[in-house]
Amino acid sequence: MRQTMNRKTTHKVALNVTSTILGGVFIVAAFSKFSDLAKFYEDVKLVSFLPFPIDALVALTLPGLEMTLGIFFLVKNLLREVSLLAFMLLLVFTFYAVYNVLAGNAETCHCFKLPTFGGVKVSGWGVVVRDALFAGAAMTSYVLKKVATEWEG
Amino acid sequence: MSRFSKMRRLGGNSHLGSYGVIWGVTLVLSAAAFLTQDRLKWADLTQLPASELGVQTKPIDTVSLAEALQLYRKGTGIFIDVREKRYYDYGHIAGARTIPTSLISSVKPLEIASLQQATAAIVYCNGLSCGEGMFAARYFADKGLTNVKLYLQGWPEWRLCQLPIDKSREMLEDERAPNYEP
Repeated sequence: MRQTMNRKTTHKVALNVTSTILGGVFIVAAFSKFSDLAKFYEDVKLVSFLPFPIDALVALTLPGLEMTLGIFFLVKNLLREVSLLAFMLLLVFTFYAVYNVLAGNAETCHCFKLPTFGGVKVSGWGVVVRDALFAGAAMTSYVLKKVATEWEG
Repeated sequence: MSRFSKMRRLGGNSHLGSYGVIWGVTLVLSAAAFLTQDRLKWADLTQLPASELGVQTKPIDTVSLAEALQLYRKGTGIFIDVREKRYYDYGHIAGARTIPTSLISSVKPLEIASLQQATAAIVYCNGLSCGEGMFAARYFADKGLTNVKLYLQGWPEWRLCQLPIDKSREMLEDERAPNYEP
């Protein structure tokens, strides 16, 4: 019984930590794009091979989607749905990051622009690793929430 | 049960309803963000030539260092530096014009027409890792320039080979200052 309680507590803590981190990351990423949507649209045109008007639609809705995911992660609501959406989004970002590294466009890829910390700029394969890690965190959040839901069942 | 979990009931306790709530919030936030932006700039960005409307963009000819140098020495090529102005100021191919990609949509038709006078309008950037060069070359081609070429290796190679370069007047004055530190 005590083991079950400890496992549930650990599970809950892990879920809270994962969703809080992902929430913060998505909200920061969204703000950086909201500050200049037109510039973000130019970045999307540069690094994606999406035709017009799909690239414009992506540029318009992606920051809003990131903000929404961030908010729902932080308030810990609809976690399964937002985790799955976040995972799919981050998979797409990872794909574009790999594509742009191989195409030599690494410096201009702002799929998931985050501020630099201490002047350390993430570029090239660092972006791929970072996005893949976040995708892993999103999938972890999805699995943890699914298990928690089954326990509550 | 937290008050936020009531959102799930708004979504009808179904996954479809939940996704509906998420996308609804997304659309509202996106619309709000768009309405606060510079819509003139957006209008300018989206007024792309017909060739951009889902159709493959025109292929762009690339030039090697030897070809770029030949055009430079003959004086028949116009070099266009599409990096940000601060990089242009630090150094650029001698005689090159500066048209940063961030300002490309504000280039006047007269200036584009003046580029057509030369044998080649050679766009360059910061080498292979810089995607703005290809974007700018495609942009000019779509605007009607038939002589646009892309010097892929760009500034790093030109500088490495110690070929003629210019710096901005401000940069030269800074370098001449007694307490200048690079």
